[in-house]
Amino acid sequence: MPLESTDGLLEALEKIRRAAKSSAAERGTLSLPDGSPLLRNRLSQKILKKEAQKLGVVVEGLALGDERPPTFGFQEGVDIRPADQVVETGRRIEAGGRRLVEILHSRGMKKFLLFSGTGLAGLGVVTALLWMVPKATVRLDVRSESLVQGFELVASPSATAIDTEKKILPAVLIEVEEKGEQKAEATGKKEKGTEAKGESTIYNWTDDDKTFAKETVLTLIRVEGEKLKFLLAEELTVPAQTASVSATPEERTTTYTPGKKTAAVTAEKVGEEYNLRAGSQFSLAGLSTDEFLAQNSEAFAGGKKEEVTIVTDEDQNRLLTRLKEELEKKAREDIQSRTVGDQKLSEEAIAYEVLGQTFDKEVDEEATDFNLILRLKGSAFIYSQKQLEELVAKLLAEEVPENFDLADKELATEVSAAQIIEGDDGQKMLKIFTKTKAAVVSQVDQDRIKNDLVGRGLNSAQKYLESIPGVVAVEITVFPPLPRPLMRMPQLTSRIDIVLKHD
Amino acid sequence: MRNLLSFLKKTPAKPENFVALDFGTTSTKAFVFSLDEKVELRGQGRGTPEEAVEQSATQAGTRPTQAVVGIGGENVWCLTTTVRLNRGNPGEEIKPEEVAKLQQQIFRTALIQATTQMSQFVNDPELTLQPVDSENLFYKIDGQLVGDPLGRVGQVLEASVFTAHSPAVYLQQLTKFLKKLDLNLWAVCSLMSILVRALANNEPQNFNAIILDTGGRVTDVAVVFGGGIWGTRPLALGGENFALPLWLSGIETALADFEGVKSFPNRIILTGGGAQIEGLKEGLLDYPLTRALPFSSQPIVEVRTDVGPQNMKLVAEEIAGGNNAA
Repeated sequence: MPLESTDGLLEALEKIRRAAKSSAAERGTLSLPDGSPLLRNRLSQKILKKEAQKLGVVVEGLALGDERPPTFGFQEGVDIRPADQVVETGRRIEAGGRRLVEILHSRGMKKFLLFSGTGLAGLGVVTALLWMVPKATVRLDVRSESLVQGFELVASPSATAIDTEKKILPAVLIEVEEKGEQKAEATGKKEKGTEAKGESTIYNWTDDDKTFAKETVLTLIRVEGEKLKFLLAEELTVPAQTASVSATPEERTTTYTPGKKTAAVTAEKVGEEYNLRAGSQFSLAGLSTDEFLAQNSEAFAGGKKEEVTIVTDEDQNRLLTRLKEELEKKAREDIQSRTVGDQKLSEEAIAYEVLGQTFDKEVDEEATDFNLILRLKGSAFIYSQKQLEELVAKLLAEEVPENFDLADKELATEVSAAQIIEGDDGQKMLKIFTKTKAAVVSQVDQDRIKNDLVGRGLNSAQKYLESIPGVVAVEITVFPPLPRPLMRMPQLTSRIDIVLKHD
Repeated sequence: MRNLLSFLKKTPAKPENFVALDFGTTSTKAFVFSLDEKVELRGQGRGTPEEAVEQSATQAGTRPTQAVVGIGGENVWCLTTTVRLNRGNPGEEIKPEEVAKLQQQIFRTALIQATTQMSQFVNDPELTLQPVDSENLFYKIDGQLVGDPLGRVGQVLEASVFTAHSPAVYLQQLTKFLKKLDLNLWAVCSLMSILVRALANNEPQNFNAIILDTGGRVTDVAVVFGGGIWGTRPLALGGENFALPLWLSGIETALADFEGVKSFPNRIILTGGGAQIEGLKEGLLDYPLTRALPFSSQPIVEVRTDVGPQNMKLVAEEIAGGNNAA
């Protein structure tokens, strides 16, 4: 029995009536087309069946609905006379000598020589006096330069003499051992006590079971103040909430009951403030309190706290530093007392080694004061200051620049640093870093100067001396004193003295 | 307190006026209300949706842009959901969060129940519903009725809420249809809940009745206990082409569909355009309802023609009050 998609309940019933009258069929199939309003109303279908039944027709094929399941750098400027000129001067003297002998062997000359012999002899004496008597003293101020040079030397107990090449000088190793004890006050503070404990019931308002791991954090819910935390003593699973439906004659009620489980909890820290009263509420692991909430039915107890003095790591370090400094000073003095003569001790080269330290209280241990026993070893190399300076002087001489000489002044040598090192053979040695200050002066060739000065007038001599590189001041004294224009430098180099001066 | 879900949240401002619409199966009724200090009826119209809106606008002298639609019949599923919470902390005062959680449970439960029931009724397993209307009926603490549970203590917190759900597809179609009428959907309410409020006369706790709202082609059957609509069924028989015996038989079948009711209220109220059909009341009085249905005695029958979609004013007042408060 086909129906139109627009046929409603009334239309369908009318068609059933007509069909019932026109045929004797007691059983019929009602075909409901897509979109039929009858398909969208269970009541209509029920009524249709019921009314058809009244007409004696059984209707099949009606769908009455199925259950739907919820769904992140000198210059070389010397006044050097050329060598050929020196030779020429010699030759002229030799020729002059030969002519004088020839004249002396002539007759006229013999008389002349006889009468004038005495005069000449007297003149010779005078001349000889003029050659022999004058004497000049030349004082030259030459420039000096400061030379500072550092050396890296090794003082070795196995060396017996200084070795310039290896820059090694002999040394002696001295070791001393010191022991000391000191007491200090402890300054640390620590809270000591016990944690509050108790039981808390956890409520689960969700539809799923929830497992909370051991040490899950329960945080006290409060408007102000510290959010006190407690930890679950063990893992537990809180069942899901349950829902039950009950129907009475006048109403149908769905009842939700939270899943709950009681758990042992322990305060995260010690203190009385964790002794919470019964009925305190907690959130769990940062989860919404709408879903999970905990509450204690009985007050938490056992929490207490007190402040005690303890030894801190800082306290121990402070005492260790103080006692160590004291023992180091003592070791230094002991080593110094063992030096003799010109033996030198470089304080920088004393090595200290803590042989043992014993505190009678450990860090964090409760105490008002504590004690430290310290054993310390001081090791040092001592060496001869004279040998050091000797080695340095030798090394320094090799460092003087060309055209300069080391001035005759004392060397100022100081040890800037020293450290104990270990040689290739494992032997300990002292490495010394020195800084030596010396004066170097320009080289002055006194023999050449004397030769060059022979017979010169004072002005010429003055100019010549001033032209020598490195000479900064000239002073000439000539004997016998004559008027300056008549004064000349001696004819003999042996009558010229040169005195050098420098800063 | 009534909550017209979803829609009000989208309308932050209160309009000056609105039109209340009842799309009947044979004709549409429109009522224009002004929203000044109090809600007043300004105009009404009847006919096709366009005619009804224009008539009511002409009479009111203004054409609203916002509409409140009362829905009934097969487009809404009403039910009352009661949820009871066993509190884990009976000594603690009830906080707003707890009440909010209770409400959440109620709406979740109501949606599941409405979806299950309505999908079976309309034979559509894929039916998706959306809540459109709700009203808190009562709160009880340890079985005792309380006005406001906040600040009180007790083991069991119980609440009963009336909810109305509509198919999401229908609401989409409704919004589109209103656009054609140059109207925005401001709110949706259940026509049956309006009738119940009007008939309860401010004493909902004592209002128990069966309401038969007979329109042109559909009679909405509602069972009401303590002012709460226990459930509704749309009977596809109205005043058009009326056949009394069939209608009476249909009412009996509809009431039998309310599974779980152990005793129906002995008061039947006839409303709607079809309530005045001659012989209806008498026919109902004579019909042996007690034969197959759980009535303690033959019910009395009343005809109330003074209530209807015009009572959407009640809802308008609450919407206006709620919006003002917001």
